[in-house]
Amino acid sequence: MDNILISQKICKSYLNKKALQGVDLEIATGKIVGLLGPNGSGKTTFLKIAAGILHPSKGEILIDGQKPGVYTKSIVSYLPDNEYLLKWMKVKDAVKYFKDFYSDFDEKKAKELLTFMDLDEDSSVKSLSKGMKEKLKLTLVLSRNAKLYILDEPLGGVDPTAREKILNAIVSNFSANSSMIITTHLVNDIERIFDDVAFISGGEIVLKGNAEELRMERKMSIDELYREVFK
Amino acid sequence: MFKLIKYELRANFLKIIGICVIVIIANLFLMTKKGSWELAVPALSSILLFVAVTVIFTSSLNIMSKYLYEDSGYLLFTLPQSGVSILSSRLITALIQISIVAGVSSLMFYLNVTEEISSLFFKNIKPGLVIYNIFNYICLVIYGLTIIYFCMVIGKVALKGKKLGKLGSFIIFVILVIALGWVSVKITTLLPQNFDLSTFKINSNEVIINSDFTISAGKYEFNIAQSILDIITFAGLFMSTSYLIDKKLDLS
Amino acid sequence: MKTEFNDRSPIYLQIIDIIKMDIVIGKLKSKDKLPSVREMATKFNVNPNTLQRSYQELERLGIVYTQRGLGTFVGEGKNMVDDLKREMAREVIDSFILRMKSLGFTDNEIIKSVSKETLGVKQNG
Repeated sequence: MDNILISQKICKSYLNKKALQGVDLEIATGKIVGLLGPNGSGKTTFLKIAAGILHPSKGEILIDGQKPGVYTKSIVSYLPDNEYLLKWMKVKDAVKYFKDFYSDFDEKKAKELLTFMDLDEDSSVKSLSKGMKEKLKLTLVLSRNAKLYILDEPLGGVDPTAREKILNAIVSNFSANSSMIITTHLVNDIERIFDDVAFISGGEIVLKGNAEELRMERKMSIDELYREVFK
Repeated sequence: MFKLIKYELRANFLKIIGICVIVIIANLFLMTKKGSWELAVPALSSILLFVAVTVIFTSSLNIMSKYLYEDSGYLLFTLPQSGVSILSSRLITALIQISIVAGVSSLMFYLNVTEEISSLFFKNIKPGLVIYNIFNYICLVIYGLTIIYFCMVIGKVALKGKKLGKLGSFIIFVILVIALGWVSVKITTLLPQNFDLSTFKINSNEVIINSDFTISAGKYEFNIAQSILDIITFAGLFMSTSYLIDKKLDLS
Repeated sequence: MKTEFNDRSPIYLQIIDIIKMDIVIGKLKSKDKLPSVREMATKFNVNPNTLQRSYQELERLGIVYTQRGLGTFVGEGKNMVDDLKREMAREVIDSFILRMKSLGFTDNEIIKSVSKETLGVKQNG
């Protein structure tokens, strides 16, 4: 099986801290991987490196065999954990924007997802609530037929009913040709979606494996395992 | 690249219209006061021109600053666009925006200065001179913005933190401008050969003091060495900035 | 539907149990088409690979069979439903006996209390 992402000893240091201290991770095609850890563990840093907006201090990361750059950005669909949507846009403008810049954008899928998420095409981004903005971001990201989806806290700041919808959208969007890496600290809600999980702490992977196998071995849920690893 | 330009223009569309409308209305108001305020009218109009251009120029810098330091950069820098494409579109968009505002303000200023639109004015314009001036203007804007954008990007890449980054950019800008100026003086005194576009001859002119584009009474010439220096510097700064955006830019 | 699963044990096994149950109670009959992997995954908000594994395991056990391009279908084995019923019953009974024993009941006491309880259930409807 091919690996869509291979990271070898990725390090990221800043003047006063080491955000990542040698991360080794592989993500195979068709797998959904959970990158789990508390705030400050380095998970967002790692995702940003994979997305190409942060550059590692040491180590190598290859996405579809290439270093992060223009090509990888065209096959990676990244959902950051902040408000990056342009405020002057309406929902339909944002859709058009993605369509214009990403050749793998599926407008039909986008329209379906918008309806599913109860988003009105003509609303302005400014007028949306936090939860609706999250749903819109996710719609845009999932409407691309990317090879790798990078979702940073897709459930953050969203009420439980919206969470179900988001999880549903993620699952129904799954394709054997693409992979996902998802970070979250709401492990309980999302653990059934993971094929594999990797626990990250202090910039290093402290445990990784197949979710079902870990359940069998440890006789606990991934959520409980998370609590145990990070107590 | 063109798509980027399209979206950037759309993003600031209202701002441009707003500035132009304010300038037009203010100038129309001044026109009504031509009789009573006399000389104050063209003076104020020119101030309006200056302010409008400053505002739009500052806005062009602000947009870049927001890309580098704020969330809007996430959308831009995750697009599958090269550094060259991003920088070019930013420069071209800024040029278009500045030109629109400058054009409208200049026109209004002109209308406020003259008594009537004289057809003589249009008859006496030398097309060559106009093209040369426009070309100069474009080069000036693009070159100037490139220098500033270079300093902004390098400040962001080299220094951590918003305040430090911006301060660093400013300091680098000052140093760079002084350095370029110094080199410019040295080169033009060393190689004072000018190229005269009206006669297509090379003149030697000892009296050049840091002038990129010398225009005097219909004669248009420029210092050859200076121009080569400018082209090389521009190319270098442009490529460096693109490279930094591609390979070194870290968004916080 | 979070309440359907216990995250402490492998989910693919729990899905297998759900399908077995559906077959035993007759909700799924021989030659019935199982929902597609994607449909099931979306219904339960579970990773499709997990569903895939469940289906594969069920096929390995001979309970379902896959026809390329058409889907996965419940097996036709004559005794299959009965076998499944017995097997699942045995699991329940074994687990019950174990627990009763740990409470201190002897074999005879277990049988007696089962008779009493089932009669009681019958009487109370």
